[in-house]
Amino acid sequence: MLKLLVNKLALKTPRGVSKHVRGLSDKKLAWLFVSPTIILLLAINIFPLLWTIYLSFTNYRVNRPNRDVKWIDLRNYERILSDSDIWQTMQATAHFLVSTLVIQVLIGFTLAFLINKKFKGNDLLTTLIVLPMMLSPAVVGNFWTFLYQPQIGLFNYAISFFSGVDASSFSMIGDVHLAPWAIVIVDTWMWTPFVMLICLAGLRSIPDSIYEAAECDRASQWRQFWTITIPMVLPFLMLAVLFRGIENFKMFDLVVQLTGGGPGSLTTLSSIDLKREAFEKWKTGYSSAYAVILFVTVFGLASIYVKALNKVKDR
Amino acid sequence: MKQFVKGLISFQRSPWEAVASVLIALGVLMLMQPFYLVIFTYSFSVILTGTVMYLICSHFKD
Repeated sequence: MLKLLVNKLALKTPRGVSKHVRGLSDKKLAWLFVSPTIILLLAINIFPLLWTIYLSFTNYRVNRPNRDVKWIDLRNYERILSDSDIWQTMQATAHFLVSTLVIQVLIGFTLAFLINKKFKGNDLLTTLIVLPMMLSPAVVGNFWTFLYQPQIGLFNYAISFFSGVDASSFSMIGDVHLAPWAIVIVDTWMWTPFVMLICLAGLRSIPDSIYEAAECDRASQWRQFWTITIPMVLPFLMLAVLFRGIENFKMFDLVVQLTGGGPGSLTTLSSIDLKREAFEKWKTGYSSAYAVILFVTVFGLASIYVKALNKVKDR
Repeated sequence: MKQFVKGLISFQRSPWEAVASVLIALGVLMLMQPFYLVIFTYSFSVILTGTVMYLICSHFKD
């Protein structure tokens, strides 16, 4: 049936076209097959990026399509980089980024180190630990909002149980000092399993023979940990930090669901602020410049990080 | 140090990449520091310079 269809198609192909295709070299044929994907990638990745860069130099507003679009040079960049609110937002992002990365790497590596030991129920425990990672951020944000409720929330009761502080005396989401940590706790709860999985893969890739050789040389457990485990897991750890760093730099859904950027604008991360400028205030040109600043920052950081990662791998 | 300067003059990749990396890291620190708004204002220029320098010097010979 298929052969018949192919034959029919071959007969229907105009003589000029079939002759031309038959004369193509392997390299040209390969380009012919790959070109639709390349065109698609250019259309959905490169074109929007170039368009955003162009818009960042204009006063374009998407809600006023009939207004003249003026080229305003670097004015959008000047305004953004002298805005104290955006400066505040960057600090909130930095606090979130650094805190989550440090805590997730420490807990994730510790969990992986413990899970790597052989004991009964190991697989079940791994599955249970990995569960939060599989949930949608919107769902996680929603139920942690309930957990953080001062009157009925389980989190406040747990803190009250261990510290003796009255459960209704503090609000994780409403308090100026606690709100930045509230989002850090939820992100850590959700994404530490991811770091753990990557570290576990690193730990399981270390051959037993290296530890056996170290035992023969009478190296202590502490020495084995610092001279074998850490150097061999380091590339995996760095990869986990890269993934989580990039993800947390553009964190949006979880924080919007949890705090909505509040109290005030204390937990307004740069991606939330960018969304507000673009789709609530409709300052398209301005928000494009904002997006370009964030893009260049992440791109630059990722470049030096990948270089460091390659150096560690080559060691 | 002498080797580093020599590498810079002869357009070798690693010293130029090191300079670019330091510029990017410095720019990010400037962007996110909580002390002076003026430093924040010039942070993007530093990051952009570092990133463009990194892109160019990654094509230099080692």
